[in-house]
Amino acid sequence: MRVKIILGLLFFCVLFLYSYGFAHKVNLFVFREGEKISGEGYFANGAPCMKCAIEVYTLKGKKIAQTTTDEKGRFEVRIKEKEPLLVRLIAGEGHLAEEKLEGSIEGASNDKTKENITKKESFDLQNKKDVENIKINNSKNVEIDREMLKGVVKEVLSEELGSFKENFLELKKDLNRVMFQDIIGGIGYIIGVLGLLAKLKARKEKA
Amino acid sequence: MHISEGVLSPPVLITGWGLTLIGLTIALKKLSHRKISEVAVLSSAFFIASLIHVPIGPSAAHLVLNGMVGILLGWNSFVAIFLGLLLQALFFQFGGFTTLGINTFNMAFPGVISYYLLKRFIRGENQKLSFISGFLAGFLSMLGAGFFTALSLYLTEKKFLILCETLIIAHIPIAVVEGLVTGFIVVYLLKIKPEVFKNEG
Repeated sequence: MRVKIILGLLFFCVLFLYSYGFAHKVNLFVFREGEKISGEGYFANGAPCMKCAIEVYTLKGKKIAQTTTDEKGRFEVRIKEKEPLLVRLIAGEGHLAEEKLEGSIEGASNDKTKENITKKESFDLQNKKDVENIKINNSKNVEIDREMLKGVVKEVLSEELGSFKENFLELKKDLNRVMFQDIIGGIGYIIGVLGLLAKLKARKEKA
Repeated sequence: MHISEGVLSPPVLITGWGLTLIGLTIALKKLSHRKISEVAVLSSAFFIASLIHVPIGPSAAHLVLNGMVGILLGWNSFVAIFLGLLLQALFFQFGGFTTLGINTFNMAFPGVISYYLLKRFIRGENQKLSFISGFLAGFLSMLGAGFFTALSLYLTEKKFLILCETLIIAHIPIAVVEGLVTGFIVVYLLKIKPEVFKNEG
């Protein structure tokens, strides 16, 4: 009797030790901001994917950066490439998640912005030839101001978008969670498919 | 345990599908319509059990119940596990469709081995022996599944060797849990429905 009680307790302890979550799909959430790629890896139950390998590839398959996630499943890498990239999260045991990133907007737009400024300068100069020298100086100032403004906007946006990113990630995690109705639906499908098989088998065995 | 898409090489994937199709063919030939209700119950149990996980190091292991499925269904465990994995891939994107073949084989085949090795020791009159056989079925099937998963990864890329070792070591605690669960279920089933062990798998 004592042995049975001990075994019973052991059984419940083992079950108690289980973290009842839903696993075995690893997800990757990734953002690209200029030269920075940041993101988070997490399992389907929202648990962080800790110390998992992160690899960044070009679309041609060249590895350009690698890092590992921290205790919260987060990571950050700096890259110089402006082209579209592929970020790979390797969680071990054959678990893998990939996310494709578009080309850097900042990198691509930098040249365009400079080009636009030059166009604007020449446009202004054509219209106001009498203040040519002043305009050039002003234009230079405008360019500097633009950069400063860009920096300030970026800083404010990054603060503002921080909470948005957090919320977006939470929402994404919720969407990835296994829902009770999915489980019930799955069991329904199993019974349905095997019910159909039973009917076919029964008909065959009768014939 | 569920290998994701894009990890394995095409030859491993094709071999996996080939082996699973052989297993399914044998199973469907052996399957009688009376046995199908058991397959449905065990497939559902597998479908849910795989969703319960224990975080181990950087990864996570989960209950598979392939030992229990194997010892009760024999070759029919291919049908139960294939269906469970197919629905998990469809609903939750666990594993994937290209890896469905190899994942099914990795989990179902150790169960079939347990059926042939251990089922003969499960008898109502000897509860201790039945519990030990159930425990071993759960324990060895889980380790077997870990071994086949590791082998699949190893055959794809040799550098996976360290990962494979980690994977097998990581599965020892969960295999003990799986063994205990299977042992208790076997003893319980012997008490309430002993005929489930008399049917041919």
